[in-house]
Amino acid sequence: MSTVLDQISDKEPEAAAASRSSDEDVVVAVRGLTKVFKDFWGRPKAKAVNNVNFEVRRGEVLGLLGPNGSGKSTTIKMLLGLLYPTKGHIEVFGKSPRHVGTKSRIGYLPEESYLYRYLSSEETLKFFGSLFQLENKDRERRIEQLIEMVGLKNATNRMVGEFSKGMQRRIGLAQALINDPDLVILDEPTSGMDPIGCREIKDLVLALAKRGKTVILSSHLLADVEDVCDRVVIYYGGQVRAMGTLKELLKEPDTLQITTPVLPKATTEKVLEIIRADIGDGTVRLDNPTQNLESYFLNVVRQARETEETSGATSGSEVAAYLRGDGTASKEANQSDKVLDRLTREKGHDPLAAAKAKPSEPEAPTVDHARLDALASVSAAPALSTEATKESGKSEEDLSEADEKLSSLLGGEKKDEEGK
Amino acid sequence: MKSILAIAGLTLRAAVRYRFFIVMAVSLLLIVSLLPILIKHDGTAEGLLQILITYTLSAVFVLLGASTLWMSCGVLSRDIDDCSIQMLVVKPVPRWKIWLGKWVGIFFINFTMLTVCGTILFGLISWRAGKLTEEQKAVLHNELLVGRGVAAREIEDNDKLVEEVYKERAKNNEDFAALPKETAMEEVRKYVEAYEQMVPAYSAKVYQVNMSSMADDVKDKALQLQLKFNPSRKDLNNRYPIGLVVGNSASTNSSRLEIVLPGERATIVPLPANLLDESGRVAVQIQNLSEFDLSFPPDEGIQILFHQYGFRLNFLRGLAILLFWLSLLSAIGLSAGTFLSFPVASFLSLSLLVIGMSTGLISEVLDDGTLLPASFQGPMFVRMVVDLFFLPMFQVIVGLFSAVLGFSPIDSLSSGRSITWGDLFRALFQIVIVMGGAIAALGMYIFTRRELATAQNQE
Repeated sequence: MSTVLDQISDKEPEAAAASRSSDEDVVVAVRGLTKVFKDFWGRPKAKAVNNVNFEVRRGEVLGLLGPNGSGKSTTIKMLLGLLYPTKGHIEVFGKSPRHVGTKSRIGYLPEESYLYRYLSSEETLKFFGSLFQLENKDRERRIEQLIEMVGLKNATNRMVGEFSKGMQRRIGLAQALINDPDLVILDEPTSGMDPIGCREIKDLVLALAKRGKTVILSSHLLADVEDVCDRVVIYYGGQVRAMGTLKELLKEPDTLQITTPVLPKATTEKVLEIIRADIGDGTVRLDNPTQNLESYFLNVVRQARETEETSGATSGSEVAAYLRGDGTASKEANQSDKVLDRLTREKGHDPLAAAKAKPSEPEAPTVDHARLDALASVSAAPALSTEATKESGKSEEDLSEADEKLSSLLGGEKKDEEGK
Repeated sequence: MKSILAIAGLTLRAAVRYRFFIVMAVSLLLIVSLLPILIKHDGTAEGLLQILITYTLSAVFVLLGASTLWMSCGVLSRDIDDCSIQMLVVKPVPRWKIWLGKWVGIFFINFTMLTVCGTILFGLISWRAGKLTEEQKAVLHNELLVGRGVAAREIEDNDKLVEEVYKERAKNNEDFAALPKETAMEEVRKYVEAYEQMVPAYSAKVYQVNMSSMADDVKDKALQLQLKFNPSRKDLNNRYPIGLVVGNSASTNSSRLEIVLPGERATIVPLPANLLDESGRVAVQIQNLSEFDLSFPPDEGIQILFHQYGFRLNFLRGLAILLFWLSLLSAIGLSAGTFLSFPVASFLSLSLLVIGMSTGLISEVLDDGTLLPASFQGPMFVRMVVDLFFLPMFQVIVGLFSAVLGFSPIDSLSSGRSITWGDLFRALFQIVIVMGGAIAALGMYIFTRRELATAQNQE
């Protein structure tokens, strides 16, 4: 219980905030940013961004949220030098967004596919790779890994113009990462992607963040942002309406959540009686948890993949080696982190903050033993309904999936060592 | 450099994959192979070259020029319109390099097309030459498939004579004396120049052609005399008897002959070798045996032609000048495409091309000193306002375009005139570096400064 209470306390966000000491680099700094679109005669037409201020630090995943026309894409375009601010100041890596040298550290995936339709996927990556002064060997190696990563190995020589929207998004993502950027800007990255692709993109974002890369993510899909972002900025009408970590923004301080395994009916009644005695009848809710649709879908596809072939995009590929980092030690740490991450992740838990807050400590003290026991048991009964229990249901499937991934990763590593 | 070449390669690839390259190649091949077959020549060497070089090469250039303008307008403006330029601009490549890379790509396309067409034309000339008579073959190889240098007659300094004539006139004519000196001097100068050019009926005049700088090159080599004159009145048959004495007692050799020549048309008369005197000059005495005054213009009235280069090198230099013009057209199209949509950029570029081709007409307006016709009946101030607005603009246009259009490689090739290395480098400097460079700088500047996105994703 105390362990559970610890998890829902404010310790970790504070720890995360404390870990972000003042000497951490500010990658993007936006001050008083305003953008007014004018007509041909110079008359103001629309104020798309109005006095926006925020900073993005190294290794952070920042989400830009807002309804259509709220100014998210306009802000991103100003960060990239595609639009110029009417007022205010932007710095990216300490320089103006129009500074050419800085662009070698940025990767950008736009909302729509603006790729050259007459190039194949390999040619597209070769072309964009050649703009980064990469050595030919290095470029070829990255292209191979990226195509594998985005699941387009079967479509290497097909023209981008023949691709479906989702496939175009995948190759767009690949070109955004060809230079192993320090800052990745993704505008609606999961738009047009199937749920597996969405999951893989989210895993990729987390992998990038773990390597210390900075990610700015703009999306309408709240679930995607919730899964990966450290902080969010919520736009409306060109202004920032809310900004902060997810934990801070989503906390409901006036309600409490308890997770238990299934209890006998008598025990349940006793607990409810005690609670009702204190707070009355009307505000207590009891139901069984459900797994979310994403988990269910992933499970179905995983089973189908074992028996069926597809000519479309494939999934389940590893993140490209150069994006993961090349060192064996970090590889092992990543693998362990991934497994433990899946086991211990619950709604609202910020894995990145946890990793940063205690970089060298083992995660055991924060592990929910009760949940682990439940996962390890042969016949695990469905737990009492809370959304956190939903996550533990997902964790059981994740564990087996994680085991599979771990085997393939270890198997892949062995192959690499043999190759050397 | 790598990024420029990558972008140039992208432009080439787009041209190939959108089938533009293949369509252009087929069209050009059809022009080069079918046009000489469809148009029958008169069996003369001049006729053959007129078809193969004047018509065919002109048609090739017109098609390449129009397609270059169209392609260069589209290659950047379309990328901007469909936002694919955003993928390029966010990469570490300065925008001016993106512009330059596109230009280099178009240059490669034009270079390839022109080289292939030129090679085929050269082959056709050699092949068709075999079908001429022996006499015409000799004309072709000696007079036309050569690069002949030109030495024009000396223009004497008439300042002293003009001053004397002015004083004489002012002394004898009060009205003339009352005119402003500048106007009066200008009038006298024109009179003196006209007098100097004219050979009156039944009289003779001697003109000097200075060939001292090429005396060694022309030693022991046969020369040609090209004459062109304007008669004071037109003979019914347009035929004028003329006596020629070329060379003088100081020359090693001299030539005398009487011929009948047409008016207002260049005619070539063969001359023997070694006609230069010790100072390197050739004296040309024109004896006007007709009843009409004949005026020999200073630039092309009396010219001595001499063998300077072979045809092959001359042909290559001519093609190079055509390539320079195509490079300028692509710079114009690309610059227009940086700030205009494709249709508007195409319209602007084609308009500039039409204006360029109308500089002859514009020059005539400037010579007349007024845009409105002499028969214009309206108020005087209308003429003044119109001329005040248009004449300076026309002067600027003629000044700008004359630097570019002052070369005529197709005419030179079809008439066997040499295109010297000096002409080539002057063309490179004026067309590509100065004019093309100025337009490119403007285009790059606009492209660097403009925003390439809007609030929406499509423009």
